[in-house]
Amino acid sequence: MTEFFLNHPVLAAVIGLLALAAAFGAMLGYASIKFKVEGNPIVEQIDNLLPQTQCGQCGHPGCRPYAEAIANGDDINKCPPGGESTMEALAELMGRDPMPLDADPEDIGVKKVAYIREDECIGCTKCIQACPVDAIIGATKLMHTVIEKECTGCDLCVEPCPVDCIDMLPVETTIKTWSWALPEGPNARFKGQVIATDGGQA
Amino acid sequence: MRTVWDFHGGIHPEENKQQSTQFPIVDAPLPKKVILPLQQHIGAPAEPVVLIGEKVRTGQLIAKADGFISANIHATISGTVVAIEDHAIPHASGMTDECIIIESDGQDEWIDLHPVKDWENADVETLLNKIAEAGIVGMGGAGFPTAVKARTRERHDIDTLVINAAECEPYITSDDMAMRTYPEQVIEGAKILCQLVNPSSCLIGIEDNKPEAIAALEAAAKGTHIEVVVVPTKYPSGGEKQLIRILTGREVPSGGLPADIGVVCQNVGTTIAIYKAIAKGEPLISRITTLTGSAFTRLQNFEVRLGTPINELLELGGFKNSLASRLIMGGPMMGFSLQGDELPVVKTTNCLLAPTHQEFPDPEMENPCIRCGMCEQACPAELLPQQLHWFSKAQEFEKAQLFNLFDCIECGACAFVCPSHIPLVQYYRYAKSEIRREDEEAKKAERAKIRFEQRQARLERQEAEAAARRKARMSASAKPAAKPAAKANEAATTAVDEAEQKKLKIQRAAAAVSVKKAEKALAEAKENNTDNLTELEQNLKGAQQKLADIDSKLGSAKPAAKPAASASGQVTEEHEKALKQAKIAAAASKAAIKKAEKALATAQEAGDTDEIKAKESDLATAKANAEKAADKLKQLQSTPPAAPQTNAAASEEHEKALKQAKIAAAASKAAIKKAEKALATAQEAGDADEIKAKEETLTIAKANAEKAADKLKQLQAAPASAVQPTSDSAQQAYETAKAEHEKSLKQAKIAAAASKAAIKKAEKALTAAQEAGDADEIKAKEDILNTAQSKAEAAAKKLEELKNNPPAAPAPQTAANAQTPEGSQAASSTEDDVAAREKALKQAKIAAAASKAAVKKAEKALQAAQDSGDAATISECEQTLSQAQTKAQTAADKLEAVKASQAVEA
Repeated sequence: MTEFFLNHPVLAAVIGLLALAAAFGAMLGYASIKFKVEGNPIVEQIDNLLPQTQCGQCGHPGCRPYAEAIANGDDINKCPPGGESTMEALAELMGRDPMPLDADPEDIGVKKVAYIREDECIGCTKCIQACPVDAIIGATKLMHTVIEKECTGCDLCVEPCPVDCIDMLPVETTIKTWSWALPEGPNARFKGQVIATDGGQA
Repeated sequence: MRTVWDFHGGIHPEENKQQSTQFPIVDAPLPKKVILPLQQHIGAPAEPVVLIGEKVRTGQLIAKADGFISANIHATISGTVVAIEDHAIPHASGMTDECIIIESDGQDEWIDLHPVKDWENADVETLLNKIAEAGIVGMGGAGFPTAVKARTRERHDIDTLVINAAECEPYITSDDMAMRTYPEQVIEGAKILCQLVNPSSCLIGIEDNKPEAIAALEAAAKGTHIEVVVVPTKYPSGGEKQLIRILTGREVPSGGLPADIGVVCQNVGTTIAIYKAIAKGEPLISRITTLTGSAFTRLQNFEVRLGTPINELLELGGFKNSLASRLIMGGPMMGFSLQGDELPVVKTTNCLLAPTHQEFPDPEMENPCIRCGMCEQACPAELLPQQLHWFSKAQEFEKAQLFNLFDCIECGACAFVCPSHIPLVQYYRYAKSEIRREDEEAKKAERAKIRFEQRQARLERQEAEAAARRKARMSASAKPAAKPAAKANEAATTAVDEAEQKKLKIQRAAAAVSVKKAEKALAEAKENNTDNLTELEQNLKGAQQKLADIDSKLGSAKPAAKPAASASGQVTEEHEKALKQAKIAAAASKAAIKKAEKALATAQEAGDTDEIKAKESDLATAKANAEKAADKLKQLQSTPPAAPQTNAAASEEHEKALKQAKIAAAASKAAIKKAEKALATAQEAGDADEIKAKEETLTIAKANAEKAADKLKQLQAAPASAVQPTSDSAQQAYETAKAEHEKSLKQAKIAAAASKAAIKKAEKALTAAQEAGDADEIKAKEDILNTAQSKAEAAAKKLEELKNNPPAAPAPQTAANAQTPEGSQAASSTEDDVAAREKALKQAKIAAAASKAAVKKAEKALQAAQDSGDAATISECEQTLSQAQTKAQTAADKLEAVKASQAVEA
């Protein structure tokens, strides 16, 4: 055996390389089966960035279809509920340039919640069928109401209402959702500041 | 002396504590009304347990803890609940929250108190419940429910209990005064906590700027295991993590709890509250609050009932609004400005600070960060405040979190030292709340996604159920409708029969499967010796019976369908064949006319009168033949397909011969005419030789014409059946036709065999599918089987037809007859026809191929529809498939006809 290889160096090299190729091919083949990634993982990541309002303002029937569309090259600026921050996050994820949001500037970033004027509701159940997250409860010819906690503010229930008794109200800040404002920056005084900066030292 | 560690950073602001320690603690007068927010602690708000208008007594529970992290709220005065409503509460936002408002009756009637008398021997659970009942929360500022914190022993090994008495923030002296006044309560409370937590050491950490409190505590702690540890004054040594670091040298991990390193830390005010709850049974209804700042005239600590409106306290402290720059709850470092004075004192209100403008000037203008790094030097949490500032400002929250934003204790040391007067803590607070909000939104999005997906799944399920119901309804209504239709229309039975056969086949498959199942079950039962053998056997028998029934039905259905189809098919086929042949004959006669004309012309040119005459007569007969052929074609086209076939074949041959003779006669007549014309022109020209020649040709033509006329007469006289092959060439043609026929017979046989094989294959696949029990698969296979069977039928039909039509016995006769008048003529006429026939053949082939492709396409579509499981599309596809199949059949038939006619003509 050894003698054969010694006597036929070229043949030995060829056999050696073939053996290596076979071994690595087997390894790669095994890895491609063992570590096969199901579906497109980027879609999952994009979907996680989207606000899941399922509002369809992007022109896709829900957030996941839009995520798939983005993965296939659609624009990243079609999500008004997500606002600027979502667009930026998408830009970073996809390695694209940030672009201005494709929406009415007044609507951007304003969280809304559907509100049914209950005395006007005729109980037609149309809004219930339209709600993508089942956040409206009620029955035929009985008053409907919105589960505020589950409402994504997608707007989809407003259109089908035959008596226009649904309003989209901006979500009010409560003491639990209140947050400190961002200081205006240099050349401004922050009103809420308490610290006696030099009062104590003077 | 115990070793005392140091923590990183820290600052030394002016203490300003002496102003409020000049006088002892005084009970504040009873408030006229109290405003008690339902949430004075971290966690869930308490749930009200009183009604508006209800009389309450001091210490009565008015709101119950709701959830694990929550705290009870008690009435702090006796009186009437006047409202449970939103009211402004002390909060940095200045917003409102739900409060219980009690109007005092001025009696301060207490509930009956139930202290734990022998608490040293009481079990932990009793003590913890008592603390929880008393509604005690961390009094240092955060307001974390104490009972929950004390329970940490259940999950962690605690070796050190730290009582936080550092009170490091300037101005505030409530703990200091409490320790001076009630040192034994502090020690007793610490003892209770020790019993709860069971630590190996209990340390009271106190800054060295409170010598009186230190002395009092040390005196009270004498003889106990509780150790008073004096620590150097440095802000913020009172921070929980910082104090633990100072006393034990251990560091609380980032994002962790003191319990993770075996330490529990309680505020000294909390300790007193615990003592009161256990030893006196008093719930938390009051606290010590410092009124300080130069805008007060009476700077002092007061024992204040919780819920007391701040304006009553301001009055008590002699607050001068004109002097005050603002009103702050808490200390100057970590407190917040209050908006309005209609706010109540809550469990965490340790200080009300009303500084003058001298003490607390308005915040300086913020300047840009100069990256001096002083904040980093001051940060007790060892963070990088400058970086956090940049990230918060740029809203790069992820990076801020990477730099441990949430380890910031918001002590304000960095902002205190900042030469640019940057309100750093506000930036951090902003960033923290934004991150929390984003987290909240992410959670909500996740929930929305789950709800959306569940809804989607539900809708799909409903859709599928509705489709299944629709299908069931449709099949139920289709069954009775199909049967009468089959009986009513005999002609259209084939399609329905096929459908019925299909159904029967499906039933058969199902029955076969059930038989197999029953057999299997029986075998298993036999193996296991179970009791229900007879039952199973009966089952098997029943299933077999069913199968037999279906088989017999299937058998009767097949022959019933076949003859009807084949009979009508054959008749029409015959007719079509005859029609085709007539057409061919017409074309041939036309060609013969043309040829005769040509021949006549050549004869005229040659000037052979005999020839001309002959040609002319030929031409005439050819023309007559053509007329007849046209007539026949017309007749065939108008006559129904039921035309007698055998007669047609015989008479046709004869007629053809007759026709040709006629053509020949006509041609010769024409030749005569032409010759006459040529003679006339020659006479006009006056050329004698020419005239002679022409005359000669004319006579020849006339003679020819006579000959042709004779032949024609002869043919007309002879009966059709008597026509016999007369020449060798006819014999040859006959032989070739025979060979051709044999060839096509062979091909048909092969096709039949192939189709039989296909049937077998399809049947095999069907049984396999039946065994697998996949209904869709079974259907698909049955469809394949059906098509194979129909193909086989077609092949068999063709084969039979070929066999029935003996080697074209009439065919050679036609050929012979065609050749009788003038062999060369007929031969040349057929040559022309061959091209036309080939064309027709090609077209037929193309049509057949196209229809086959259509069938394949339809089959594919059907398969796809079956895969998708949509009933509507499946039925649609099946329809198109059957249409395509019938089309293919007709195309194939046509092709065969063309081929056969070609064979006949050849």
